[in-house]
Amino acid sequence: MSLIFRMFWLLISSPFKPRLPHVKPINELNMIVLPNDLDINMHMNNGRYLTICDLTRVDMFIRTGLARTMLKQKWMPIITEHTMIYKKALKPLQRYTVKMEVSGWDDRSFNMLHTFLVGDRIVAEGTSKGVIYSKQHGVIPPQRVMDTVQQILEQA
Amino acid sequence: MQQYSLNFEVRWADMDANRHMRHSAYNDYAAHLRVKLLKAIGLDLASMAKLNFGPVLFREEIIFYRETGMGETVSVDVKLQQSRPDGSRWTFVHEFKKENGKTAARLTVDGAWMDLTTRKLTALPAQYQQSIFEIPLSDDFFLEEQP
Repeated sequence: MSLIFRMFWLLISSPFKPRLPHVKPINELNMIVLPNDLDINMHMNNGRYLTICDLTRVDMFIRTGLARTMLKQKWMPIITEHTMIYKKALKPLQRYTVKMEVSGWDDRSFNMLHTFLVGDRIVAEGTSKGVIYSKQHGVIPPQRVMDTVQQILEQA
Repeated sequence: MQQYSLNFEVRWADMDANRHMRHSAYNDYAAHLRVKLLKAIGLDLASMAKLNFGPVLFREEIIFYRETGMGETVSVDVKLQQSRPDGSRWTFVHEFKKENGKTAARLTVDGAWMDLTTRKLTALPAQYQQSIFEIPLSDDFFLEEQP
């Protein structure tokens, strides 16, 4: 994680935001393009979009209760595929919203949708697949992950 | 050019909380390799700055097969998978290989060139249009029709 200050801010602020459902959650973060996000073309570097998607994941993990579940179970999230399509450049100091949605799952992976918006206009969008992995048990099926989050939330 | 690849030693800054290389670092390594490759065919950053254009990506797709750990050396290569005859649109494919030769990830990027004044897509300057075909071609290389 190269966005250490933005990550730190999320770790402080996300626990105080409204909780998200642990099944098919959707979240949004309002961001601004900072000078260290730019490349020599003076727009946000393509690699940065992927790192920003990581921030939305962390926010979602915290707000759904998955972060707490993963800590308790010693699970870890792993991204297995990521595709981004860039439509319009993000300029220096431009404000944008990044939206993430868990759109579904199969017996192994969660499917995620990522959308970068300036106002109502989509400037980039993508999909990713991720798994929850345990060193002891390998990949944890998504349904079991969601059931465990539910149990831990009920116990709290 | 038969092959173009670089070895990277995975640094502390490339790691994530799972103690393996963070997924966006793969894209950073590939971007670095592409810049070196363009320089190798005569299209360096100074020339691009002089002509006021630069590369821009439309799409990136990465699939991860194996994790890469701290201190490991990962080899990254690049091949041209698709291009227009004038080099104005292109697709590069990168393969990331671990020290044991196994594939860690495969990245595909689609892109073009952008005029940095008008912020619009532009053609590759005529003097570089053939240079792009010096880049190693993938086995499934496809020459698009010029629109």
